[in-house]
Amino acid sequence: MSRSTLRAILIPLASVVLVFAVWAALIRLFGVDSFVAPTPLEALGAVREDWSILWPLALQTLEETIYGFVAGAVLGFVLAVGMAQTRIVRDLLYPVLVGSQAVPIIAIAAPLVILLGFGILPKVVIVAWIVFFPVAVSVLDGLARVDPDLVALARAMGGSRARIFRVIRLPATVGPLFSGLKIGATYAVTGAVIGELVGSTGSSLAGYQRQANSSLDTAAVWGSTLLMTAIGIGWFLLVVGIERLATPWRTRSTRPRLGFGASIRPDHRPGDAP
Amino acid sequence: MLAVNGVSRAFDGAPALAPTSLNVAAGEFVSLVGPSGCGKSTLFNVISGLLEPDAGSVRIAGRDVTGRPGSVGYMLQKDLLAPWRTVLGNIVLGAALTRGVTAADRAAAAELAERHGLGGFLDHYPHALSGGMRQRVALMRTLATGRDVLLLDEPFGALDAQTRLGMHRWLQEVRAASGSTVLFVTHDVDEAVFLSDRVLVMGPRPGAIVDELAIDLPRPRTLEMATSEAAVAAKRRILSLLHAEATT
Amino acid sequence: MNRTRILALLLALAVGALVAACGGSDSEEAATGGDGATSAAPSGEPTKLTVSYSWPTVDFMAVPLVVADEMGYFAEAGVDVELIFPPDPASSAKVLATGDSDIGLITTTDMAFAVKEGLGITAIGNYTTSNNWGLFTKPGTPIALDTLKGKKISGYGDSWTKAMLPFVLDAAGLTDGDVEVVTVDWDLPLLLNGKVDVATNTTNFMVSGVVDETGEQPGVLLAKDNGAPDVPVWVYAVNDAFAEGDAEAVTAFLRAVGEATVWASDNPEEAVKMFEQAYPDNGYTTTFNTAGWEDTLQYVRGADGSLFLMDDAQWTALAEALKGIGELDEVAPAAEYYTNDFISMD
Repeated sequence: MSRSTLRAILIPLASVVLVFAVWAALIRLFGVDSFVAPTPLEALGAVREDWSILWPLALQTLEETIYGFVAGAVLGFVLAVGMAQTRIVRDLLYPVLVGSQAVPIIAIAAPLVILLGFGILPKVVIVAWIVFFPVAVSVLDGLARVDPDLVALARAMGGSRARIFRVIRLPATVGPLFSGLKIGATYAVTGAVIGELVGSTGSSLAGYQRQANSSLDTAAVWGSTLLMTAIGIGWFLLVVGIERLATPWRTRSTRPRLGFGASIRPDHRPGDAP
Repeated sequence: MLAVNGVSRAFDGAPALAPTSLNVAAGEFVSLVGPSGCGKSTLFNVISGLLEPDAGSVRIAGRDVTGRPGSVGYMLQKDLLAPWRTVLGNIVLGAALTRGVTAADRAAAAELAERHGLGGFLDHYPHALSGGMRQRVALMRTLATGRDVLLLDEPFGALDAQTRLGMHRWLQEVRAASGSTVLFVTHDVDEAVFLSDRVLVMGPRPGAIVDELAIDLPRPRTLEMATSEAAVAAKRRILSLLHAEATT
Repeated sequence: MNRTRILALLLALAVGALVAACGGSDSEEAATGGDGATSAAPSGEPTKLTVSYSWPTVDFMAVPLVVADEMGYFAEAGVDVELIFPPDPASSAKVLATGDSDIGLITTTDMAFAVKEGLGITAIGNYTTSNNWGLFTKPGTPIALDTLKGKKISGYGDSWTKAMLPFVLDAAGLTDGDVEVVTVDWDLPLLLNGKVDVATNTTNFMVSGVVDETGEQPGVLLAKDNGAPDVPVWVYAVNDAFAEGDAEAVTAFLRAVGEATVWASDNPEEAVKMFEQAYPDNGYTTTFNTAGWEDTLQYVRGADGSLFLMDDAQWTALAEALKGIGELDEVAPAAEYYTNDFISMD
């Protein structure tokens, strides 16, 4: 393992330890009763104790997050591309976009459950609602920032509007797209949990937490919060990982020979090469 | 090869380019020098087809290409390489933009790049290259479009003097191999003299060609020739024309 | 009551300042001379009592507390009560345990878990004396044990619902798989919109909610009549440390609340009016408040007509139910949950 890889792992790990240490110190310093707030070890212990229950619930929350995230990303991307085509559409939709995020999620969550039922759908919609905005704004921004000289050059090379869009404008949005996705990633899990809280069939991570709260099991409440946080961080890291694979030009000096990055070379199309 | 006849253009009523005519023979290297804002860019945009002239026509090999992009190779001071494409991917950009890249395109591009010293960098992303290397890739991209006429708009303007000297020699080699017809815009009189068969001097705004000068130096040109009497005389003549225009 | 309380507070400050200005020795004597004995005595300085509510916002269940204040029962008993509200429903026991309040209205499940977690609080009197939790359908839809099969039933995902529902399903000869249980945040709109077939709640909140929205009565299936143990839902509880220091104040509080409950049960409409004047922005309609309080009244007295009195059986039955769903590891001796010692028998 190289020195830099080691650093990249150890430093974030140290920051986690630091947060836990400060947390534990505060509990001890102020003599906080464990039914008010547990120590990190008590919270982690509660997670370990109920792991067999929590694990499937965490997967379920992750599933809601993934579906919503993908739906939101696609929606945001398509919206941005559509809005970038004509000024009037953009001017018409931009206030709607901003307005959608000014709506408190909790206010739309309850009607969504009434409309869409208790299954996965309302959670997916809530997550998508949260994710589509940063994606749409980032992609829109990315499309607006494509170097006009590059577009002029492409035109001078004889590129049609459609081809210029596909070969120049679209790939230029990949970077901004991931900026938007990363912002959305941290909020996405919160959206799924809000959806679970408002209504779910059977058990859910939010339901587990609510019940732990109702049975005064504070350690389990904090433990499940830690788990939700971990899902959020994990999801964020996954998005960062996909970004590294999908945008090798940002981190590497040469094209990777194998892997995801190699197969998505923008100029490679089926039937191109033997 | 390239024939520009009485081309003029105004923006919002303000003339940017007075009626201008010029001819470049097949395989000829012609430089345009002139003060900033003399209308060189407007002229280039018209020739490249990006801009429709108010009057006049542009012909390439006898064919009218006025207002029709895609007829010439075009290169700017900014390399404008797509950061997400490798060197090879950037060289074949023209094909990607017009008909889709084929394996043959890629092989030809690789061969071209290898012949001109970029062979080891085919898989590199532009950000990993120096400014000089990036301009070389940009020129390869222009060449790979397969157009006979190349418009080079101050391609080395952003490079330091030493890199620029190397680029001059390299450009000579490339052009000797490709036999392209080149119309070259520069502020650098030395550069114009060293590279060109003919230098056209433009007047200040709205711009028109006020004089032209043949550079009678043998090819391939060497560093010694750049300081030869003929070259210095040509340079003096161009500078005096530019000064005269600047003071009137 | 807010405004009244602010006025009272200002008045108290003014009097305090006056007393201090006229000579500290007198007030010092009053404060130290009594030493507990005078704290609950009507003649001396009233004992300050902080009482926490069972819910983050006020509702009709606060009627006895409002009446006790407005009718002067608290003053007569020598206590000065301040009502505070927990940040979330599940925190009402914690607020009491931390000493932020001295006495609190909590649910009996809170009490059971408080013993498990060692929170240091004890139930001192039933608020309701029997189980008014049940299953509800929207008006016009009948409900009975034999109609439950295949239904979508909503619950709040709390321990009470989790503990009580199996008894009812059992009585209907059903298991978990025979119905679909969904966890929701607020059941009334879902029930009225037909998104769930059956809602679970207590009668005083669900019946009043449905009556308020539709003007009609919902279908009601009371759990205690259909297999579930008849255990009360709400109790008054005390912080043990406070009770040790000032037992008289606790007794005085319960006595005043008892008097207020009797008055409010004899004069329900005036009591609700009093509540609405004290909390003009309580957020509910008079219809809801009146229906809710009148429903509550059906459950405040025990079978013998008594108020507050608890017994071992109610706590054992509750703890057994919670143990049955794995929420409690063991049923503690009943005495650890409650004491009737603060109920005055006069």
